[in-house]
Amino acid sequence: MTTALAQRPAPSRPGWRERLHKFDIKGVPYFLVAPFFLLFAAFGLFPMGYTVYASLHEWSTRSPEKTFVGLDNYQFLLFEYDRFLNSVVNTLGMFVLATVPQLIVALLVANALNKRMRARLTWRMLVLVPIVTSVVAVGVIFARLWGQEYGMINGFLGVFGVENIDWRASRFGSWLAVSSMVDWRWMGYNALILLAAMQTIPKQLYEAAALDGASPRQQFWQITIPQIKPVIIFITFMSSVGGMMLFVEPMMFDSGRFGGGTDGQFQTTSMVLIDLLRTHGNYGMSSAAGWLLFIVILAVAGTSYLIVNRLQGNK
Amino acid sequence: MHLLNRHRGRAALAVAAAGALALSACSGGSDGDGNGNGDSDEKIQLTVKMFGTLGYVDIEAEQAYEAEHPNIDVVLEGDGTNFDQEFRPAIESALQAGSGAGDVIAMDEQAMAQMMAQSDYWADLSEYGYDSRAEEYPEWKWELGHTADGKLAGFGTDVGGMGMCYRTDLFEAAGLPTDREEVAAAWADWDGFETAAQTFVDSDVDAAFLDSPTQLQNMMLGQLAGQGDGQMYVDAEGNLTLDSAAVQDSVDTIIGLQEMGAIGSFASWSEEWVTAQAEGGFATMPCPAWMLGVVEGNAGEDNAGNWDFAAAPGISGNWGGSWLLVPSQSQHPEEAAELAAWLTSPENQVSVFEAVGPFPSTFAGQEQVMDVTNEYFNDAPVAEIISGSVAEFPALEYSALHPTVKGAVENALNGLVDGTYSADEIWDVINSEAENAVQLGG
Repeated sequence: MTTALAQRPAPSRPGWRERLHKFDIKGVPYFLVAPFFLLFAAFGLFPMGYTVYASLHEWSTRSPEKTFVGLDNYQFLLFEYDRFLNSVVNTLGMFVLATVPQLIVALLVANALNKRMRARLTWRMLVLVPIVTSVVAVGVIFARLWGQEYGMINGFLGVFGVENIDWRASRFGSWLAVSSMVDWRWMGYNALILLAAMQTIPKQLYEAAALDGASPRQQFWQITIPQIKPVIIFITFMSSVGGMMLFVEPMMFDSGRFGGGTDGQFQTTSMVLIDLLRTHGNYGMSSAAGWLLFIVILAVAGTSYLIVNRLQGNK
Repeated sequence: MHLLNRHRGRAALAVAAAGALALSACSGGSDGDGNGNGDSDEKIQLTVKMFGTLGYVDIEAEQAYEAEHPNIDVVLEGDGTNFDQEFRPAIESALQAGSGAGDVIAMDEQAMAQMMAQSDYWADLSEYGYDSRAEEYPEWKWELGHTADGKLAGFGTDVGGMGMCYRTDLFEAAGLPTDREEVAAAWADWDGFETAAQTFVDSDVDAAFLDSPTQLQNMMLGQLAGQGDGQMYVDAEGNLTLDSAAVQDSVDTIIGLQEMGAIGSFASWSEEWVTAQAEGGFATMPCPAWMLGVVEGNAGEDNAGNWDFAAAPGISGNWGGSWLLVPSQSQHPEEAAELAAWLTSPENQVSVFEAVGPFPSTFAGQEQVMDVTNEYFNDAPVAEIISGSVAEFPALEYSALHPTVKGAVENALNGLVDGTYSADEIWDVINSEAENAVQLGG
């Protein structure tokens, strides 16, 4: 063996210093990102893989021994358990009801904050306040605002002779209430991201447009929007993912229950997932619901990307 | 999703912390030899897993027990732990995993049926001669501490019992009696309750007679099941028994009260329910012992004297209360059983009652607190009413599926009251939701 090695025309062996240098350039980056990926593998990939396994089994607190059932769990959720598809409709409905006005208002607020105004920093800070408020506190306050007998909103409508509305009992009413909670929390956050993007737009563009006689409205549509399009795509994408996983707001609106109203009027898919896990102790079914939700999120995020990307043509 | 992850994270942290604790305890206690069984100068560590302190921290149970038992090191864990969000899931995983569940586990009533369904998880305390404690407890409280196949898994701590909170000001306005003896006599049975409801509705007082449908229906269900064949929602084999007399009659009574217009839409623990207690939104509410403090807090000083407390229709009822259980994975089941028995002794139940309020479940404990009254509720003899309600509570068999089917039925009844379902639809909804609950329960 040694002779065979020796017979090869030996390439000049690099010194350890050189090899260290090579490792420094090629190896160290992997080394530096490794902690994240190791943690991700342990707490992200492994659980994901394990839920695939769990979703194919009948496994619950009542029957701890896992029995392989193939796609039965998925089939039950999609075709037999009405609450599941109902929850997907609810999630999509609340997503549209919450996100569309939220992003439009965020855009307008960002545009306003981008103008010259007194105490600009204060205003910018204030739009962020809702995010640093505890979501549970927000839930408690909003549940009171939208109360049937003692709620402020019914009290206000009562001034105009409107009878007390049970917002939780109707589908649209409850969606409206939950959406208001989501909007209140996330509008400022999105506005601030849009504002940051707007500030990167070169001033010359506006000056040139003004010289050419473009009105502020035209400047907004012809310069601002196209310039910040990548950021609009980003926040639409993030809002889609967040909206599809909507959980705490509707749960708090129903006093911490997972049922989302007496007939699942505002039960989101995340709530179904947690209900299956916590109330029914059904690990298999809950895992299957998680994967179905994942597919829904992919579809919605993809669709909203395509829609936003087509606005204003391709850049 | 986010919430879930956070809890998982915390549970993992707790497990890690518990593991570290166990390790350090081992290394500190032993002098090199691994098996400490029967070695008298070896300190035995007993971990009690609790949700909150259950009053044991407040009465310094740890110090008292260690003083009497020098070879035992008691560790009380769980201050600040939420039962449903953190405690129950963590205990479920620890029991399934076969380690990490501690030596004594506190368990709330709502999860008992589910816990007792898995006999393997629990030690049999009758092996250590604790069957003799049966006579200390009301029969149902004692029986619920047994597994599906009859092991004695633990001892009861407190009971909720049940009476009826009512608003004297609203009763007076409606022309109903306000004295608690007269009120209790007027609704001695369920017909009397319906008559009182009708009087209240006819009086046009601007309030609901009853807070919500669920607690009353649940209370009635237990009473009727106790008088009849004992069937509630699900039998021991996991089959639905929704056509049982208890379910049929209790739900029909609710439908009747709803059509009368007597039931409010104030689901327990909702924001509206809290506000209504101060604003006089409803006139009656079924109240376990621990609820009195809740009402006092919600209604506040302004309503002092407005709320009173009387025996409920049919008297018997219970909502809440806990047990201390010994898991089979404990290394020292005998010592754990002794600790659990000591913690649930009548004397300690009374100390806990005096310190933080949970009502004693043992007869001897109740005897000692019998003359306790509640000032906020017009000096109502609370202890007497509560102990009366638990003494007559029937011993019923709870299936592991009982809690989820109960949740489905109660949700449907709330839907009846908020107008989502009509009285004609309600049985179809109850049946289909209950079937879903059974199927999902595995």
